[in-house]
Amino acid sequence: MDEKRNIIRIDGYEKVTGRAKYCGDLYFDRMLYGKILRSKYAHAKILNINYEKALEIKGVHGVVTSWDVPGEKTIGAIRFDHFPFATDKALYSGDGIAAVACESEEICDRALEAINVEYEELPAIFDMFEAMKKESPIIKEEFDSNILTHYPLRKGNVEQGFKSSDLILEREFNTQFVEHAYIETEAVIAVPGEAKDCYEIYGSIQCPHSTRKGVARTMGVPLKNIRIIQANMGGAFGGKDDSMTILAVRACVLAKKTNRPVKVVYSREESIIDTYKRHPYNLKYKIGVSKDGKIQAMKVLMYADSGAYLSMTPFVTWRSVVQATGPYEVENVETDIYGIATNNPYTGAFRGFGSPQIIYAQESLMDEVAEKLGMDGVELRRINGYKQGSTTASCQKLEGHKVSLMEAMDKVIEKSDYFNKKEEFKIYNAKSERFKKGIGLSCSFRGCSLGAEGTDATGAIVSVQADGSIYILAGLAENGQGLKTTFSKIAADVFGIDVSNCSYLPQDTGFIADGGPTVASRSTLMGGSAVKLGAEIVRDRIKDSVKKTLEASSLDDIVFENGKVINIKNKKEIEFKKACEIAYFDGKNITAYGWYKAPDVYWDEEIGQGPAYFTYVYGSQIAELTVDTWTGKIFVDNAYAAHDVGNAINYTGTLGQIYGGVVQGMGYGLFEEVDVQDGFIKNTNLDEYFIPTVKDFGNIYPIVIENPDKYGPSGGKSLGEPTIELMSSAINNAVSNAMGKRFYKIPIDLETIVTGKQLKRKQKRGSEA
Amino acid sequence: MIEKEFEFYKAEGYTDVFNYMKKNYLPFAGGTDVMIKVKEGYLRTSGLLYIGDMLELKGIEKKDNSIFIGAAEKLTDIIKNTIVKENFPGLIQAIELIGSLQIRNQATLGGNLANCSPVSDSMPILMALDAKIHIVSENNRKIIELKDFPKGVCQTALETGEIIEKLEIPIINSKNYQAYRKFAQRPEVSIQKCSTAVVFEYENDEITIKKAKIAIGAVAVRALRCEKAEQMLKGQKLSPELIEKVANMVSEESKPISDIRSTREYRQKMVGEGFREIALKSV
Repeated sequence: MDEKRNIIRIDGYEKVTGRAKYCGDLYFDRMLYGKILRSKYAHAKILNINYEKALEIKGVHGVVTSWDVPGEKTIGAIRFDHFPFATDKALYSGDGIAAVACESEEICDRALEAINVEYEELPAIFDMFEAMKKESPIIKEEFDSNILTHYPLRKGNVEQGFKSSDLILEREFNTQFVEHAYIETEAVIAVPGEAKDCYEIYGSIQCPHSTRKGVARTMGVPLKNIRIIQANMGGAFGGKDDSMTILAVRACVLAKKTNRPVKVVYSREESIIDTYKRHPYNLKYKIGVSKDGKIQAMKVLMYADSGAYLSMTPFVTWRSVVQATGPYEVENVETDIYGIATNNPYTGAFRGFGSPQIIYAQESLMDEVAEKLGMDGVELRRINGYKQGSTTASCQKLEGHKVSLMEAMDKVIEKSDYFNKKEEFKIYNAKSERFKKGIGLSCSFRGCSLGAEGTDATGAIVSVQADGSIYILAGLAENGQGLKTTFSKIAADVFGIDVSNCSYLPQDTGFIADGGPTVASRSTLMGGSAVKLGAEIVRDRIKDSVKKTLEASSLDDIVFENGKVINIKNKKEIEFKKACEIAYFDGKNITAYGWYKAPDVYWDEEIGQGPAYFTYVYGSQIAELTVDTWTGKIFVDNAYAAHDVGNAINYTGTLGQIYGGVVQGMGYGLFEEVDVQDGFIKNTNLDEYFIPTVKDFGNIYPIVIENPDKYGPSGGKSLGEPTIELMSSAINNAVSNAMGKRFYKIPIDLETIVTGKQLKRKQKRGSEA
Repeated sequence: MIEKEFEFYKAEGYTDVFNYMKKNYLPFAGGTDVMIKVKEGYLRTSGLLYIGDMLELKGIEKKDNSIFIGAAEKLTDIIKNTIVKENFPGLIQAIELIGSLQIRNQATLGGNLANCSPVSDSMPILMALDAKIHIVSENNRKIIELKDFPKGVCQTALETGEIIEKLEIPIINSKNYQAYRKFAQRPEVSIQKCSTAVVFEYENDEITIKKAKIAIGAVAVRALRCEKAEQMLKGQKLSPELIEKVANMVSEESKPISDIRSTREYRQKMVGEGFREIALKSV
């Protein structure tokens, strides 16, 4: 690794030494503890809630239900359909019915037991196809059917395309519910403010401004009355967005009722039961290719289980529809995706956001097509893969940035010695009865930031102090991904100083403008650009102040380098510190707000056409593994990951993202599955829900590709999500390569390899329906 | 969450133990299983009695051709012990697979047996090693075979007022081979799907099996000895055909169910597979 590019994480000291306070560590005077009573049924009418007995218990200070929500009863990022407290009906097993505030968590448990809820159980639906039947009951009254969303995409004429194909292949794939499994469970403290109807909320909150909207709406107060202060975060992976708004609302209603600070920390079981998962998909792919390997047509039909609430299903499924045919030129495309309501746990945002499912399917399919054509999957990808100026399924011409798909594939193939290994393994496998080795590749393109999902703009404050040290605060939040370090580096680079001169201020909705959610791998690209703009404004003001001292005839002659401000014409220079002091005494405002609005994008929802995203990233991963055919154990000996990041601003962080994403992708492909049976989650802790440990994989080789993008700060763009979306299909292809047998469901667990059947038991399709 | 406040007492000796047990206190040593049950509200006792520091329950010693391990010896200390290592490599193999390092630093062998979970990692290998349990109560001492100790899921032969004092494992004087194979999704921090423990004792020729002992875990309400398979191996030399045959017998002797951790089919296949793997490695 390039040592010079190894920068130290600016919030590393406090995290390594244990000084960093997480929400669970915070304490307020007179603070109470809150707990949630959840539904006994996956679908039920709530007839009556009697909590008088709970109130008689010593140490119980308040019980709240939907009746105590002073404002609107619902929240929702896209549509207001989610009840933090079930109002008439419980729609899934994690639905909150009531909450208690008590002097200890132990008393909370007793109070919850003393609450008597009368339910009328309703027919529940746990299967998407059951939900779509005409005679099935409609789960969500505000929708006219259980189909919550539908995104079509039409390009060319698929029938014609299939007619001119020499090979047509139809395959069906299935993916599973997945848990984020962040190390820190959800935690919030709601504190009644001094002013009337004002609340401060501290918490492990991924998108503080989104949470503020939900809390203000349900508390029936203006946005300014709610301040969300983000505590240090122990991970989010997309999972602490609307789930945290739900929790914040619950805590805030308790705080209002008791007029005391209320802390709610979910146990691991509650975390798994209550909050959203990754969408399980059913994917049906039909592909037509000519003999020479050119794809003629693709028809894709997908269903995503939204569970009981809409949450992010529209945006998640929209990304799927844009990217469903993969990074391949296809003239004739017909894609449809449906988001379906069931009484399962609800699904929402999760690192990857609608891409891991489709890439798993489409990249597995590509290898199978190639096999049928008698060529290597790589060759098929080279024939059809995006090159400079290629056109996407939505007829967007890929230009204005470097289309680096082939570069990513070439590099990962070279690093892994893909073709030689394939030959080697063929010989090895012919001799070995028990152990089989395989290697597999996958590749992808990914639209950066929100795209046509919605408004895409964000801001940052860069505040230079008189001694040359700097405060930074941006509208996007640190969730563990390393944003504080990256943003500080961007500002430090503008001033030509070391990143250690920067401090990052706590995220507080009272101090920074709403810059949209911290999602979609948009932080570096969007927030980084805002930081850069802010820093440049301040830099130019400093230039103006030191112009005289440096005897510069033009501001353009002044540069900031190596801690100095230099006139490049006459070589006169002063320390950066000194320059800041001069500007300060010159009365200059050396604090500035940078604001960055993304270039326009567009999407026609009727036909699914348009320039969906303003720029894209490309990546390719390879899995090299050993299958123990006797026990079913699959061990990834080596994983290779090549990603175009534009510019690796925070190089150490870049490597970290790749390592983490690759391993999370292995978990997705090999053993992670939330086992939902009849609407209830069976594996509610990490002893039964398996995430990979450091002993579960061999080596990971990151390959960082840098083709600077004109829109990103110093050319940097997206990385967080691309890293997780490729491994499951690379593994699937490697397993096929090893065993000569294909699998169409993930996870490929031990049971699948040995018995041909996944561990997860088949659940009922519905309780009565 | 702890439902109610618990009385807690630290026993200094047997007098304390038996007095408090009469008051329905639950004795525990490491607490890695008991504390979770307390937290989840499963235990109905009036109090907890800590016996983990009692000298009577400590110590690892070699005496009369047996090795004795005190019930309150921590797993980590057993792993590090040279007498155990020399005589019972199979036991070390099994204990190293229990929980995580942190758990092993705290948990005790006596506790693992008394908890008597069907997925215990120490039980199958100890059974295959013909271990005996020394039980003590106020007025009595007795020794029972470990294979007779588990009675069901988390149910043991311990009667009211009795605790485990120590474990006795007979030293095998002839050449032998011991191994434990655990099947789990992860190599570390993982509860078994099923397991196989094997001990071969050889004749003087060092190939003919004098005695074979096979125990399987997590394929019934308690760990089992596969007596039919053991019988089949007696006086035999291992051959590929014999290994195959016995592996199938081991599978047939298992009675697994399907649950959250694995399927019946997988478990049944794997316990046999475990035998096959160990047998192949032994030759």
